[in-house]
Amino acid sequence: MIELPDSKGHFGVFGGRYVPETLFSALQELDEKYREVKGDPEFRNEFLYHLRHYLGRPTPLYLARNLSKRVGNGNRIYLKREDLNHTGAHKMNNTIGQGLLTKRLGKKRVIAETGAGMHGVATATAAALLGLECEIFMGEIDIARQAPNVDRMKMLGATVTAAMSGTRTLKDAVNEAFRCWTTNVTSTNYIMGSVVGPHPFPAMVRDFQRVIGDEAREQIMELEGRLPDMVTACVGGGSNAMGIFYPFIGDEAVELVGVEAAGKGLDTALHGASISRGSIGVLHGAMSFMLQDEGGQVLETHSVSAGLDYPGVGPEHAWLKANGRARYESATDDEAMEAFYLLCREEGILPALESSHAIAWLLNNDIGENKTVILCLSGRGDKDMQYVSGLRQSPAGAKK
Amino acid sequence: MSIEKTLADLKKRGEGALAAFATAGDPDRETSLDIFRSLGAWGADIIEIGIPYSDPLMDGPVLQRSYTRALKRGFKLDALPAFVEEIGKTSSAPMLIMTCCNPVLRYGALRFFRDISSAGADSVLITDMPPEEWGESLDLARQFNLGTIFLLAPTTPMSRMQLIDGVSTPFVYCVSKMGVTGAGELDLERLRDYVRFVRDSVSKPVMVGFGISEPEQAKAIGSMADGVVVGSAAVAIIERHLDDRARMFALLEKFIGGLKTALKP
Repeated sequence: MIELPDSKGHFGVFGGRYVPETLFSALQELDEKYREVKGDPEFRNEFLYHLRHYLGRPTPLYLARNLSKRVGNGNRIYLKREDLNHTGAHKMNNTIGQGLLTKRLGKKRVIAETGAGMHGVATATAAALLGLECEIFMGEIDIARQAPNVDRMKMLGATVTAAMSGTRTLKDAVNEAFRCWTTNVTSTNYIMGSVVGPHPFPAMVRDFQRVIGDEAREQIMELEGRLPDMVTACVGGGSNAMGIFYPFIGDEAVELVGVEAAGKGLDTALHGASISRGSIGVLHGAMSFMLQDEGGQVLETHSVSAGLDYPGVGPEHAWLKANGRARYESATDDEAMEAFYLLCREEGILPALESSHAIAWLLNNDIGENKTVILCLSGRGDKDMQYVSGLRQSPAGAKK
Repeated sequence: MSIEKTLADLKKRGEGALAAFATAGDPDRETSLDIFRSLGAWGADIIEIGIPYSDPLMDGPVLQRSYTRALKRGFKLDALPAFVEEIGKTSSAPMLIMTCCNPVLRYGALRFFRDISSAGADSVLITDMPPEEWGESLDLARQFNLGTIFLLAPTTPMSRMQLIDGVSTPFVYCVSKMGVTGAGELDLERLRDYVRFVRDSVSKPVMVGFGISEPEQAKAIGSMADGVVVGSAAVAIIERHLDDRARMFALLEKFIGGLKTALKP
């Protein structure tokens, strides 16, 4: 297997570093430093120490019997419980890694974007732990729909800055974070929350997240004595999916399925399915699939889950799609909501609305018989409770 | 006249060049067209035409809002060649197109270069496409006789300055400060040292932009470099007088004229 990305950050035609000159050398510096620490046992040990003792890893691989019955046909669904990480999602794997890297860079301040707020909370947490100053950019609309996470970030000592431009959601928070970084690049490190953005972010975030797949692979071998038939995860930017897919890429028999947000339906304009319905372009510094109009302007997206409400996707996913190694499906808002309730009531697990999309896809599609499936339950749904209750009270109000 | 020739002539006269930026289609096609047609007469030596984009990473709020206004009024990249051609009919100042890469990629790089070149544009600056990502597009642009201008920032290391100097024609665009376009203080003392360093390090003419809004700044920088680029300050005038076109034009004329006077020996 050829090691990707190449030295300039390309996965085939995807990826790269499409950024203004001011940021270019910071990305080179980050790349050099990252390659240096990647091979440094001391850094690795520090990272693993935090994963184990601070985050609580390894997270369980849990055979969800009741969910499996609902999926039917003798299929066995294992949940990789990333919701049980400290701060409630897989995001922390990455922020602890990038936080430690920030210290190595000698920078005292971090910035990050956030959609659902999970990456913001995870960054604020890592910053608090590591003694770094922290500013989080969050779309004004997301601030309203993920209020509990905004409070958490503030309690952790972070400044939360509302992104007021454009659609006032995740993509605009990324824009604002980039603009802020352009101004403060010598003092500040940007902790990217997903496998998106210019090189080295997609590769670096994947490497920090691959612990999900590494653990899952070992656990399923222990539990089942063989590899799974399928690994599935929700895909917004795609970090939890990339993390769990990556160690299985070489295992040709393992089917990899990413589940995008179909919002109100793929045939409407209200979805976040960058791979299923997008085209190739450059967003936030990387070439990948994205939702854009004929003139190359970025389109508004929609998903009931803030974390999937993003018009782009990581370049390595684009590469996996293009070379056929992974396939990308989708689930609608309504399907995700049903799956959310089903997991609550039948497994006693409150999933994030993002992860609910992967559950929904399994529930609503024929995946064959007697398959062993690992589903990445990327986060817990506490952050969504207020929003979901609001939707229940006004069934027609399921919109942004 | 080409940008190259314009810069050479001005240099001979000991005069700093003024490049003036506005967004294509802001606030609407007709007004925008009149602004671009007038920039040369007001004193701009080079006209910089900005392409509206929904998600610019390098631009401050003033240019972002101008892009939004233009897009709301229906700006389409397809209409750019005709727009550029129109400007060229009554204005002789050479034209530079500044854009983010995605609209160009969507349009098709080859088609874009061909169309803007035949419409009369002199050069293109793609702000978020560093030399590393151009690949064969660089040859495509050259094939259509387009200059390819690249940015050089305070964070650019020495080794990279040579790379940029090599591919950037007919001039190198020196970014004055860390940060996005527009707003923010300029430390003139430090900037002069930086510009002198850049000028001595590269072989191409050097134009300095980002945050320049005062004649004194233009004068100070113009004496060190080949000229200055003004953008957000001009667009801010357009924005402040959207409902009074006569006043908008009068203030733009005064503003551009003032900068040009400051650049003269």
